[in-house]
Amino acid sequence: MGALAGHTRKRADDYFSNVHRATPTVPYSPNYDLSAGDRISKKRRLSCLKDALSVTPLKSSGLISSRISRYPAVPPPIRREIHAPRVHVKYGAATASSGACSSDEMGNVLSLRYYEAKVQALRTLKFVKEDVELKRDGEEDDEEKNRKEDDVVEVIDVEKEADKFELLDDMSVDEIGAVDNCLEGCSVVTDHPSFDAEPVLTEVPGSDSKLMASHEAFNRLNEVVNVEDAERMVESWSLNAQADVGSLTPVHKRLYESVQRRNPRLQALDFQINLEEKRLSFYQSSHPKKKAVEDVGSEDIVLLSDEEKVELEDALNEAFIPLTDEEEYEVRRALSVNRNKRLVSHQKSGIEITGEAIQCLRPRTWLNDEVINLYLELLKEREQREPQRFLKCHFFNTFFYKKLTKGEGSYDFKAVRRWTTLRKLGYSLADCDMIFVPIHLDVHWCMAVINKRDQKFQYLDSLSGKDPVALKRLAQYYVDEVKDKSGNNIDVSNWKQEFVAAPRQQNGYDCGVFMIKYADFCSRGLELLFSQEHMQYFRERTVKEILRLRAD
Amino acid sequence: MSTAPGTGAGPEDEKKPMEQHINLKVKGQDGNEVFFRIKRSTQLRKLMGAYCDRQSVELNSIAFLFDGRRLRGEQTPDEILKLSKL
Repeated sequence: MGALAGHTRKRADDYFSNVHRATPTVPYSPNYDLSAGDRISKKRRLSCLKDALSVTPLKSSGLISSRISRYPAVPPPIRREIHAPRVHVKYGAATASSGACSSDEMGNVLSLRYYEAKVQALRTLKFVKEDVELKRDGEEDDEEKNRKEDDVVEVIDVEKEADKFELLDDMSVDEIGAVDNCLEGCSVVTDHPSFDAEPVLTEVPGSDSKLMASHEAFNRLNEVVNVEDAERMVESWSLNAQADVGSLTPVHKRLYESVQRRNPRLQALDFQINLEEKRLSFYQSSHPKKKAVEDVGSEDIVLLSDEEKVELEDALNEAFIPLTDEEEYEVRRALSVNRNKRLVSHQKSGIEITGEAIQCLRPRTWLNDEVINLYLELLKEREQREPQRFLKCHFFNTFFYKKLTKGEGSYDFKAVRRWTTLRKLGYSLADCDMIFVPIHLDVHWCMAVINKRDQKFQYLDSLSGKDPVALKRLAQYYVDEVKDKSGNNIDVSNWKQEFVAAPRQQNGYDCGVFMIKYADFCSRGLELLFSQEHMQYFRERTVKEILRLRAD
Repeated sequence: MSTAPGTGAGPEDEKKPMEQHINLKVKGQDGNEVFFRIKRSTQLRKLMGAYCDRQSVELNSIAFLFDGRRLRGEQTPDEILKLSKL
């Protein structure tokens, strides 16, 4: 160790005296690039030594800037050397000439590279543009053809002969006239990705110029005759260096991270405390009442209400059963599984959940329709499994409302007429206590409910939105549906519209979870006794229920 | 807030019994209709692929529904008709 340290110092001394004595004496002196390399190698050795001594990871030791940044770490030799005799004029002259030379060389190589990159990039862009133009031309021809054939409804024969399918596939695109003209819009979409080449173009010269800048900085550093100036320069470098050093996480950050790591556990505890409190309040609310009624003396009623309370309490408890360790492990694994892996597939609804789809149940992500639709299917299956414990419900999927409103706010009963045949569902909508209709508003999920039990049309929005028009459409749908399926005219004019004061979300990503939980709690006949803090638990629970294809 | 990647097209069957082939109409959300003729025993995957090619959309970004039920690529028209008769 000692020997190594001594050696290093000696070499460092050598180096500094070399620099300040006269650079031309060094064999490769004209080339400042090499002298810079010399420095670098020395610095490396020093940093290696430091590593060995203090075991502090120097992440950025590979960067030029960080190497330079450690340059002022050995200032005393410089200062001492200032007072030493030096060949001022020679040094200056040498630098002036060789500096110019080196910078020229430097410039040549870099500018050549820069030019090459530029030409290449331009060529790609040009190529892309030509390509695009070609495509556009082709498509315009297609469109003209389509317009001519617009009136003719031609049938695409996907398969005239089973073995010639491939060929026909092409034909269906090329030859056969379309009924629609939407190709026009689509062509733009397909061409889009090809423009991705552009960022590449800007990036190539960008990185090169950065290189140039750093090399130029080097040259400038070398050209400085006055050592004091150099020192100032070095100081300015060292300012930059501090930013690098700052990335070695300070103590308070590390502490904060360790606290963060403990957070989930605390949240779990918090959640359990809440649950226990809720249980307690249930006990408390049931016991005094019991006494009060006992005083009156009608024991039958007491027993009944007590039973109901217990049932209700059980239901509430069931909605908040904590996950076991095993389940949690399973959930965590499912959330980090390969995106393309098929996790589960639900035969009846035809929904397949891939690793990608289930990742929408990770914290702080927006739910997607597949997960929502599957969960609603599971809620229906749960009800069919134990009809006495849950209200008779129907859950429409996320496509229903879009279809009913034609996606643009009109009303089209025919589009969904066949969705709810008795043969298909096994029950008629008119018999259901509640009909749930998920509503997708581009960046938001909310839930509308046709509540036959309370004769209401309800709107549940975790952001307290109100949409009376949607409820009107659903009222119209309900009337049309009952009439179509059973022939009865029903009157819903006295049914109320209710914008439920549902639990609110406190962020921009949990609306989907709120929505499916509105459905869950309503179908249990429970009050909406949950809030933002339960969302993480509900996400994990939903993952579990989807993996098992069974909601509890 | 959330996204619904799959809000695509709904095909409708037009039955012609005693035939090997079936004419299918795929109706997009924008109301556009495309007609296909397909063998009753052919997997719908082929139709879906052809439709996506025509419309220049990604297969996994849209959903095919029949009477509100999601269609899978490996299903055939025969299977679906059987299923809806259950």
